[in-house]
Amino acid sequence: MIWVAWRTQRLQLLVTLGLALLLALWLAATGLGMGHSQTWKYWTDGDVLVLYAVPAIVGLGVGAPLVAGEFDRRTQRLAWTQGMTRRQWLGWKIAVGAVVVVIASGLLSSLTQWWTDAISIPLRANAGGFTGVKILPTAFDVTGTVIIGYALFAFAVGVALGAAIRRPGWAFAAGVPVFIVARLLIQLDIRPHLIAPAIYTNLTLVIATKVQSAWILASGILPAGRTSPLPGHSWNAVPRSLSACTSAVKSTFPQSGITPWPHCLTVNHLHYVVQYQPESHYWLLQGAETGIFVAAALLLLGLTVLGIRRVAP
Amino acid sequence: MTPTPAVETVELSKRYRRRWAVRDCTLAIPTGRIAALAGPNGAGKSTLLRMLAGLTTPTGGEIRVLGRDRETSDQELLGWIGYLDQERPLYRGFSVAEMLRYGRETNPGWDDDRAHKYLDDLAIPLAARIGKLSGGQQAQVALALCLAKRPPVLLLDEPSGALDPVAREDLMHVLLQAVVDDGITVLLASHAISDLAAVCDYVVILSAARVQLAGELERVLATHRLLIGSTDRTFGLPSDSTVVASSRTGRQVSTLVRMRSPIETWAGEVIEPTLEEVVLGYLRGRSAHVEVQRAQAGVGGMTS
Repeated sequence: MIWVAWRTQRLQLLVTLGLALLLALWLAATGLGMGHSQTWKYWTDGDVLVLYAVPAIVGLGVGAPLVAGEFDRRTQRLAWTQGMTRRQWLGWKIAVGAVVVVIASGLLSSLTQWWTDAISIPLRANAGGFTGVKILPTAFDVTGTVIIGYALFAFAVGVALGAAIRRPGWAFAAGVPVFIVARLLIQLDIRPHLIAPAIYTNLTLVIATKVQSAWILASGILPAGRTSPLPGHSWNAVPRSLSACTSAVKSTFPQSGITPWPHCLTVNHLHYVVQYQPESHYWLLQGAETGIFVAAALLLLGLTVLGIRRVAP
Repeated sequence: MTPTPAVETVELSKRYRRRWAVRDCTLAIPTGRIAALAGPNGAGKSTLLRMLAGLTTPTGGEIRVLGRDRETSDQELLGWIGYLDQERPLYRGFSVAEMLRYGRETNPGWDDDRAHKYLDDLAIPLAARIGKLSGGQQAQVALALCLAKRPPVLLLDEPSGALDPVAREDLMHVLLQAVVDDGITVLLASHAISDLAAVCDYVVILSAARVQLAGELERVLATHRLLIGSTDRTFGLPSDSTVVASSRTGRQVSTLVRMRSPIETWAGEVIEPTLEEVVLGYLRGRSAHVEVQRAQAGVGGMTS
């Protein structure tokens, strides 16, 4: 059955693996070139867009034709009248397709990982306390295990839409916005809070280097003892008493250069708070986000396998 | 006790939106028969076969194959049914050998020797790409896949459409052989009744989504008479006989009658009809004008 699952989707599987190898060569060439020249450049916007798109292309490229391609070749009536149930048939095709998707996206993941490390290690050495590289969104979603999660999710979306729409091209096209919305939703609304953020507080309003280079989620002046705004309050709300205090200090000691913050924050029972995800949360966040996408993929694939008997031939 | 029919349906129906493709179809086809499923295009033959094959979910009614309720998820039952679709789907990019491997890997009871022998006899090269074969050769490969599965029930939807007359005859021979050797049951849909007449021993006439007639061929022929005369007036017929249809060619009127007691008092000629004449009579009598025309085009008209 593995042979059947492979042979009926051989074209898209080979194209996918070829695409992954091509990208690997590109990454290896730029990565190695960088090492030699000692000039470190980070991803350009174009690179990032390509790397954002690849999991979607790999996943949808294999997933969309998995069922819909059979409708397209009108072979579903052949496939569904052999000596195996539709669920077994779909299960095998999904298994083989998923393995190729994982191989292709895994290859990409390990190369971007190596690429990013190649930059961040010398960067870290150069910049002393500079630590944050991979936690920042543009690096976070093109490295690590999330790539595999995205690709599997796109694969599942392609399979499900292909079974519903019955046309591989349309299923692919319909899958693109689904993928983009899911990615944005997770990246903007969910990822920042997947792991409780680290809290940095002080009275000087000067942010330490290690925090500066981390992924800063929010910062502001809050009542002492609080690490997030009171319900209904924003991070930017500054009590009037604080402004009064700072202008008073400034007018009293116009030339002194004394920063009024520690004094004024203390007397007003306030402090400065930064919420951030440090570089040390990288793998925790990677694991959690990968888990979300893999779970969503399994759910979609499961529903498709359950529903395949109801699909008209 | 009557033996378990190979294929049994009870009030089987399929509705597509507002249109009934098959309605209240009740059949019991005994094992070891070659059953002809006759009817014009669009009568519901393909829908009926697809429901039996487990492809299409019925809107209502029951299906039993060799006494077992039809379930799409029943793997063993899938192995009992060989199904040849009207479109004879195959993977065009596969070689013939790959197509056979596909059959071998997806069917537990696969008979590789049978598939190879069948294709050898037809001189279809195993290395050839399916897409490069002629329509007739593709039909033969599709048939080889069905036969090598060794199913006790074989459902064939217009199997001879792409075949030349010699190949048609060969196919009928192969089917007869399988029925004799393995005791399989064949349900064969076609609108070309002349194909069926030579081999079938059971007949189901489907028209306008309904079963018009189903029974052993011998019995069907024995209970029908074609009355040829100059009038379609039917007085003098036994009161328990029914007029199915009558048609006029020139001055002559042919009337198909279903009878329960012998017709002795008819003034004109009384002959036993052929299968074609019975089928055509039912299609004329029960279906819309357009469908009758189509059937005529397919069947060649009444020959009397």
